[in-house]
Amino acid sequence: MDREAAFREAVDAHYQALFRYALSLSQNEPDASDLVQQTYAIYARKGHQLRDPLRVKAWLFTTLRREFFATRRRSARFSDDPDEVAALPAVDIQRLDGIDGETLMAALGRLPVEYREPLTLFYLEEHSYQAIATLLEIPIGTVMSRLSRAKARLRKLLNDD
Amino acid sequence: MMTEPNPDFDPTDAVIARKLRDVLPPADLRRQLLALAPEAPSRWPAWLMSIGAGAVIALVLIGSSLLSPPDSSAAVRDLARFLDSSFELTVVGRPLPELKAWLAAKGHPTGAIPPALAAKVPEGCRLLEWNGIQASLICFETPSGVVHLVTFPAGTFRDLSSTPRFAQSGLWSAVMWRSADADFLRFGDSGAESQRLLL
Repeated sequence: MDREAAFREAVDAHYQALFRYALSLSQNEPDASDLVQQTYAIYARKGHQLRDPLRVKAWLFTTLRREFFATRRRSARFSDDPDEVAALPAVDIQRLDGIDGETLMAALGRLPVEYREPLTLFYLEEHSYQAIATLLEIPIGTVMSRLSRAKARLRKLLNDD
Repeated sequence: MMTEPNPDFDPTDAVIARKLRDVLPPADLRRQLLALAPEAPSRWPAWLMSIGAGAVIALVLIGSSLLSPPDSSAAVRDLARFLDSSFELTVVGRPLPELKAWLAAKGHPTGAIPPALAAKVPEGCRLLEWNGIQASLICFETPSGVVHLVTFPAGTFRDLSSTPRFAQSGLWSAVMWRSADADFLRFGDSGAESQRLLL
């Protein structure tokens, strides 16, 4: 496969998931689109150096994340407090079904970024716990505890709204 | 895209995931991305390009001095050349303790960074190897410009002591010193005086 065909395949396979991940990080559509474009621009220059085609997805997500944090200081303080709420509040499924994706994305945006990132990757069904741990460079146990707390916080937000 | 129900999802998770997947990119994003496609296939096989890139980096980082222990001036020259290249950081957007923990986990040196510099926000870090010696690079952005701190194991260079030495290599002002646990080479692009302030 030539480079142009490989590039097109990488766009079609991953750009929608990358956009949702970028949107969860940046919280606005223009910045998310810019991030995805920056990521694919880098891929266009360097993607041919990737020997294993199976690593393209992980490479794209890692690069997008790096680009995001390279231009934005992480201001949120890490808060892996073991005393934090971890029990999952019940959510009325019928009420949740009435919420649109944008509203849900906005609720996600109210979570600290260290919770928002793994939760977005988890819900996109694109990443295993291990893949999230590798991407975020944190232990898998931390991924699981952050996911648990992130889900609890998100459900509380959805209940409160 | 996974089509089977995710066993890790409860019913609420499943609804949230479905709603998130309903969020679609702007209609013209795909077209804009495809416009970024490389126009021509590479003239060289990917494996050869990779080896070539690796060789270039190795040549930049391998100093000419084969004496042991080496003089820091050779490292300053080689590293200044490396810093002029379009290198990438491996870990970014993390607090300094996390960067140091990551470097230490990779078996690369991390010393006690001077408090004036440790108080700055780091950009990120990466692993380096010079003359077969493992080193660590942490980059900071300060009000007076970018600062790159390269850490070697203590005793790597024969000419360093606790008294800082200053040098200039191209546009980079360098300061080198030895602490109890590391040999440090620090590079800044805003002159020697700024470097003194961070000691």
